Amino acid sequence: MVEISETSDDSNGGDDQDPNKNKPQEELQKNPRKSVEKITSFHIPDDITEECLAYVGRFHYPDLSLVSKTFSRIIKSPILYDLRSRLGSTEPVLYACVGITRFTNPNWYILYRKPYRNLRNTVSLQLREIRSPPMPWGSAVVTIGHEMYVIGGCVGEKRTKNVILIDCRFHKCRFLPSMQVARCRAAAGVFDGKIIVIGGCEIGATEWLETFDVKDKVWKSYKWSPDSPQQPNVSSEEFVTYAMMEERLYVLSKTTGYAYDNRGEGGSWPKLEVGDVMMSFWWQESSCVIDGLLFSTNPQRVFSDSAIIIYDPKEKSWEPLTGLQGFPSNILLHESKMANFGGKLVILGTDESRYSKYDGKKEIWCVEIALETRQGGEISGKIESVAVVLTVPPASIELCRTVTV
Amino acid sequence: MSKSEKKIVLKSLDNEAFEVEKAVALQSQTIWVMCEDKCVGNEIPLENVTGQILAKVIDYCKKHAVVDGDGDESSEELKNWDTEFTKNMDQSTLFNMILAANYLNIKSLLNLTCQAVADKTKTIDEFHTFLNIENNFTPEEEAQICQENLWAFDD
Repeated sequence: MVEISETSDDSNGGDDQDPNKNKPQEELQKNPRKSVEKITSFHIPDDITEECLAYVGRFHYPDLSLVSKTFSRIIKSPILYDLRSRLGSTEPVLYACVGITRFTNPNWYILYRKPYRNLRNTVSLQLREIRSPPMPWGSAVVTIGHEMYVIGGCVGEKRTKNVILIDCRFHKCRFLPSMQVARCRAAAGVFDGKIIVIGGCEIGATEWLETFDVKDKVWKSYKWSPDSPQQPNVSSEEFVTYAMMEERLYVLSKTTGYAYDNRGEGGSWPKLEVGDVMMSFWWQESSCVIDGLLFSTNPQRVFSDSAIIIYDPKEKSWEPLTGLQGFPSNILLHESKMANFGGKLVILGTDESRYSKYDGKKEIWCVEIALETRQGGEISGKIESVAVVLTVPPASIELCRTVTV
Repeated sequence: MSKSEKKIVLKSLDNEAFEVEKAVALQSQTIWVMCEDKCVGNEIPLENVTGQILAKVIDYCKKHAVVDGDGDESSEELKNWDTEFTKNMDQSTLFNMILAANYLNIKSLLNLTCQAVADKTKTIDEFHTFLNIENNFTPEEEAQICQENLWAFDD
């Protein structure tokens, strides 16, 4: 297969005994690219390179972009990411929105699973800032596949109607059509290709709910009227958190909880009901849904000593998450944030309160927990890793979300 | 169908002949089309595959012709067999297997070998060696890519 032929005969006479003897060697060194072209007698079709790359982990892509122009072109192309989904080799990727000071807007960070060059199957976890326009405070964020929708929020003291789409394949951001009213600390969820946004408006606003058709990119708003079953103050309610379970959007305000059901009887008003009191009583901002169950931090240590409790919407009851040996006790649960990371539970938290007078460097910790359902339905958590992923000036973790890339 | 019609002879680039069951060989779309379209008789010349590689491709096809379509346990077994099959292949064999799977159009073998490359090859240097290519960027282009993915490079 390897054949380096030497046919040129441009020797200028030469005083060496055998002038051609070392020629191929010299040429190799002088022009390595030429020799490579000679060696490669076959052409690698792009679709093969594409398929090999589709199987490689997402975090290798920046490095692999540097292999060659072909690699770089393929990695920048959406076709590769479609192929990843078709081959079932997509991965969950976690993003956190972190605000460093109260005077600047928060930024997005990616939880980078940096592969060690020398140690296979070993990664270091780090939160790395990605380039994005400044994010408003108090946005509602939903994810669909590899996309994050950042909805509304506050710029300074002012609510915004803006909606930003972040394409997590390429870290490209763009504005989508704005909502009809400005909202901050709204609640949002995704139903059948539609994003639903509730509340967060100025006092007096009547557009309590808006829906966004992801395909047609059109917003539609619903006004409160005396005929509608909602309380009039829902539109200006600021929500602590929200969660999608069983085709319902559960929202938690400072005073109560609601459940929004999109399945409403044909053509009737979208309906927001007062949620289960038991649920909203213990539900914390730091929470997420995994397999139809709501996981919430448990700073008051109710039900048990466990740092995490689980709400089952079918049973309407809370249970502790058992296990959790090695859970770091220094993490401030009430200022932490949780996410469903491909079926695992991830908690990002700091050991120093954002309200404390301490103004030195602060560490953001990441805890990865694998879940296991035992006999009798008990759910147990095994701590898979605990790591400091970012050292920053006093900061607050606004929220974290998982996308699939 | 007579006995001889069930068999087919595959001839490699270096003139090595392999007699195999038709059901084994027809997992290759390329061979399937050749059998359908051309009256090539029972002997099919494969101009892009060496005997050494073809032998391995046939091993794979034999295994998959026998076990495909059986219950869960055998599909698990097949998966393990696949893992073992590519585990100890050196890079040059693996590379030629990919090219052969592509030429012969055996989708599952192409998937398997590409997966094996992805598992074995992670660094830039490994890809350079494996694909026999070299860095064709100018320093400026390289800097541009690093800039675009700053989050992955800012050590």
